[in-house]
Amino acid sequence: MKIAVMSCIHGNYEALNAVLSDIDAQNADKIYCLGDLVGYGPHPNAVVEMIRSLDIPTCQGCWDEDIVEGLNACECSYPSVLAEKRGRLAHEWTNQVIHPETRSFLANLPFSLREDNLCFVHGSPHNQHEYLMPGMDAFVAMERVMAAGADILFCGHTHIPYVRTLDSGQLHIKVQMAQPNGQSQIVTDRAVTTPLKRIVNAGSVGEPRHGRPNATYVMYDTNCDRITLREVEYNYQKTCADIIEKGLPAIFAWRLARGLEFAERADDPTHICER
Amino acid sequence: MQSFPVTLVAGAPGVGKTTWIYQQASLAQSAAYLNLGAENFPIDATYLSTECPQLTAIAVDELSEFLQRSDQSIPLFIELGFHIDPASLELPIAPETCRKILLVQSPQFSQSTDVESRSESQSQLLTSSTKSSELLHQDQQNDEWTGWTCISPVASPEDFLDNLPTKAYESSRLSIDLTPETTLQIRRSYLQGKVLDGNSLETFWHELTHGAYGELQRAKGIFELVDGRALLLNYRAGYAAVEPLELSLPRWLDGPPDRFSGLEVVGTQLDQPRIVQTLTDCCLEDAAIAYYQAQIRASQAASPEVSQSVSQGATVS
Repeated sequence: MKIAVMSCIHGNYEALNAVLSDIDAQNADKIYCLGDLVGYGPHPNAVVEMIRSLDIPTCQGCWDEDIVEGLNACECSYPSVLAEKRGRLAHEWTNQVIHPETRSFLANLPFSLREDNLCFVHGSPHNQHEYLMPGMDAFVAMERVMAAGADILFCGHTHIPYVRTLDSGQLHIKVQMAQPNGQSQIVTDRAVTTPLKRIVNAGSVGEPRHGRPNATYVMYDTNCDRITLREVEYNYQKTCADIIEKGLPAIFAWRLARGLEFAERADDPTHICER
Repeated sequence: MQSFPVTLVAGAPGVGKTTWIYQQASLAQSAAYLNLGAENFPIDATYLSTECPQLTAIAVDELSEFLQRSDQSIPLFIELGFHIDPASLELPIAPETCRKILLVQSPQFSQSTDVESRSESQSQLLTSSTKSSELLHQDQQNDEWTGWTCISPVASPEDFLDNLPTKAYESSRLSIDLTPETTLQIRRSYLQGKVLDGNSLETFWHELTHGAYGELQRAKGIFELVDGRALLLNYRAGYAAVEPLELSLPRWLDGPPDRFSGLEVVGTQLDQPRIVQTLTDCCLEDAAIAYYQAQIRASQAASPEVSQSVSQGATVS
């Protein structure tokens, strides 16, 4: 079975259309979406309507949650004061234009999705706002995959696609307790062998951050266990024109055309989201 | 050797007028500096007076008094902004007593493509100093610059390599087209009392120097950061990026800094309202400034050596 996984569309209808056409051309049997359907881009309602009409299984992203629950960001959400101000602007605009049925759809999205040994989340199994960075500590990364109870954890949120293989490793746990006589006694001594796990980040359909405006997603072939990162060209100029026409900040169009993320990013792989 | 106590320095934006003056002043026991065209926006004067302690910056209205009391042993460098018409200058000093330096971007320099030829060009340029009429192309000769000495602003191997142009200009005309009729715009933004978030400044500077707010020819600015540093950022179109310079000023950790900071950009189709808005969005609120400054002061009090090394490690590029 060929499974297409996409994430972080961010109201970019042109990019979504192009990716769906590419998925069709790849003969995918199933599509999963990892959320962030709205935010920054000019067509949040159209994107949600497309996802809904195609009945694509979708989990809730951090922007989807924020539109429903309101902004309540942890410090990892924005890398700078400028990014935070731009993010708030985008949030307020999206909050104003979004239709009630769109908001209702976003509110009812599940936090995660499962398919056999595969798990699909937006950020991490713990939180939509947490970034699983490609360079994060292997122990923490392994914990996140095992917390999901999966062999492959599909995520988005960072907007940069990657595949990280966590080779089988040995974890030796030893717990010592202090005794009244001042000596210590080993009360637990356990070795755990972890199986091979993978984290697959689908990148971003509508807000890439890889230096080019092209949309990205991943294709996973369960028969041959092959993961393919796909990069799709689309008419980003149309999205840029729509950003300006809708009254969103012109800098969003400038950044989109250069494959620079609008605002959010996390540079600290050791940061644990506290939201 | 004839002594020239007053040197007029002209050149296109970004050609290296201030850097050349810095190099000259560094060789002197003392020097004075006046920037005509900067008005009350002293980016270059702040840079020079902090990095070259023997140099004193003077204002336009101090010039006459300076010339009267000067014993002529203190060299005075007068920098002319590219938008200043030299023919319009009215100075309280006879023009023939001034040395007139026109800094030009040499075609040889722009077209150098490999390290070997660069070294050869460099040695030529270091010694090149000729009358402007001999250096300028036939069609570029201009009476306006008669009597000016053309110099290519290359002074040291480090400077040469660090500032190697990444693209050759179409012609050398840019280097000498200094007429007031130029279509280049100058936009200035005062930031005195403002403290910027470092990551925001990094984002803004990238956008600015990559054309998000208009076609940029030149940008320079002094920015105050929350750790008390004042950074000088420089950009010249066609040149490799220059690392930010922390000015040799005391760290300001007691409220909004009461010293000059600001941004000057030169280019075309500049969107000044968006530049100002973005700069405003980069600034920290007073409460945030007070909070972070208190933390830094406490950290310095607890471990001055550690806090200093941490602060020095932070850069904006």
